[in-house]
Amino acid sequence: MVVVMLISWESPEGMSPGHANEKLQKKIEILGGKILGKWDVDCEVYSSLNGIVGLSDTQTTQPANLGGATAPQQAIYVLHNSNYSLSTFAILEDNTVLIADSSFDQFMPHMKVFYKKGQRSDAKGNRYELNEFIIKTGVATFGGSQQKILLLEITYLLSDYVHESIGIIRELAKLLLDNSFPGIETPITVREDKKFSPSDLLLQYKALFSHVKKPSTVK
Amino acid sequence: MPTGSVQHFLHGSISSNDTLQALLHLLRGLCEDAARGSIPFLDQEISYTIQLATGNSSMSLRARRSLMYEGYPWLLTYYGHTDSADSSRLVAVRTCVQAGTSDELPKFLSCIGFKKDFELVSKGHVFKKGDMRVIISKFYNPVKDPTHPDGYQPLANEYLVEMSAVSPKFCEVLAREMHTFAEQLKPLVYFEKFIPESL
Repeated sequence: MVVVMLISWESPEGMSPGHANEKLQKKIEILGGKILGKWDVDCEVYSSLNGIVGLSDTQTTQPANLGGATAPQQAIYVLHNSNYSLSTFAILEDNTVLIADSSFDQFMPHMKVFYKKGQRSDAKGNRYELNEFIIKTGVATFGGSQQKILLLEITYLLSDYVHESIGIIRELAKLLLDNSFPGIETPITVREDKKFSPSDLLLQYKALFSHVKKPSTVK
Repeated sequence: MPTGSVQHFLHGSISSNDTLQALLHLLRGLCEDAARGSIPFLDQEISYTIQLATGNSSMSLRARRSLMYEGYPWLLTYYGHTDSADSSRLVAVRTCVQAGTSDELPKFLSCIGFKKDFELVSKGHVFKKGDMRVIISKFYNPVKDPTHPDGYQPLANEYLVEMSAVSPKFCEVLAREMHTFAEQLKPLVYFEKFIPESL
């Protein structure tokens, strides 16, 4: 496995997100990055409807961007990542992650009496290889909103542990983003003594999609 | 948008050990991989249900995992209502959705509102023949019982024999193939088109 960090950043003043993203891609190419293709991550949020027996007994918190007059008791974030195209990641508010075959998606329509499908968000862009890094650039869009967030995902291929990798990932991100670099911290969902896993990456995307109105470093 | 496959199925039962041995012998000859014989299994199976307080709606899921092989994934299954619209069909038919999942499944289901209905241990053999599976299983109390030769206390002495095949939609040819195969297994086991709603 490898270590992957997701950074959300804002375009410099006076520059559109599209232009800022193109500038970043150009910079990666000048540094010797080879384009590998496209990538995408999508997320659908299902929120519980009122009246599920016993649900209020479980430890739940209110999901962020779901709207509506009554706060749902539970939310299921169903995420897909083109890196793991045969899997579905179902994540709860308390960051419990269920990794399942992609056929898990077919359960959700059968649960529509209990869980209501919300709007779909996604992130996509280009993927580059640069020495011992895989770099993804792209834009996240949020269903029903005009808001766009610029993303930079950096994979360091030579380590399995965040504490060994975060320094070098930070240096590369600083080099690529200059003054737009927002800083990065170890996500609170990552345990430093455990090997980085695909769940740790998808938790970073879940944090991004559940905090749509507050674009900042994923913490 | 597809929301699952269609499972064609027939159920039967056998009660004596002699019949079991004869059936295993016959299936070894009729099914694939005769040299290896059946695939044995020992599974933990849990049924979960979610329901609305109004009592209008409920939904059940089955979660099972192997007790023979550590680290195997959980298998989550949803069975829809048995379709009783066409009584001329040779087999029973229901929607079936399955997905392998990681170890967090029991916690995940509990957090989203599913309650455990019952838990049991099933032990038996699986045979494959083309698209068909024949599963012979016996059910046990999930609490280990070292005094019993099987390691668990049986819930009943009978064995359930289930023949099933999954396809994207109802397939008449598959239903006929299953019916013919069921006829070949008589009189060791008599299969029935079991429709719970008709009880």
